[in-house]
Amino acid sequence: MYGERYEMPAPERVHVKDEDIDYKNVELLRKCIGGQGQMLSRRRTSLRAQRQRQLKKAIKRARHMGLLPFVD
Amino acid sequence: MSQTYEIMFLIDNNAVRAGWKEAKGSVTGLIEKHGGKVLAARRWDERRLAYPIRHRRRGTYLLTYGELPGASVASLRRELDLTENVLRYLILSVESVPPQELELTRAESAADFKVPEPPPDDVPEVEEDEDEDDKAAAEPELELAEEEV
Repeated sequence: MYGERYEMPAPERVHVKDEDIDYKNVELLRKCIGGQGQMLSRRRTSLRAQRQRQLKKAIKRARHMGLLPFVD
Repeated sequence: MSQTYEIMFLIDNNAVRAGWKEAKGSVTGLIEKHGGKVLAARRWDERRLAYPIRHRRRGTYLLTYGELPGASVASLRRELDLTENVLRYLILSVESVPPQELELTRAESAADFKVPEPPPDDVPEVEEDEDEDDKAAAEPELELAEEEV
């Protein structure tokens, strides 16, 4: 009821921690985008900030080259 | 001052069908024209594009490594923008050329290396509509067959 604390269920995580992040590693990047092609949050990728920035760059490069969709 | 670059090209499959060596040579020739030296160049992949680029649904990727004076990158970009066979390109500066790339380049320049023919682009949507018409035409026949039984 009102006033009770509602906790959102934790989103499903993807496991990409130890892999090499590069725009050519399309199979890995595919795991890090959602159903509509959006990047997944750090909460879902469980990467540290530096690695998430590398991932962001890699996804954007892959999109430019037509390897990943902007919108699916 | 020269810097090592990794340059990925997305090449039009029509140019690849006309001859991979020629297509590759014309692109690597551009790097050399702008004062660069190509250290490695190989076919990375042929795949379906995530979205159509200039109405093409498939393309061939060429991965190259080379040394290029930093000042000529801008002029190379300008020329690549005007090159019709190059659908997209990506120029990145790298520390060094990965050794396996040199090996793969050597493997590709061997005489018996054959480039597979790129598959045709997807069937245009107009023909897909025709297929749907066929299905619609086939369904009533099935119904008739059931009635006979």
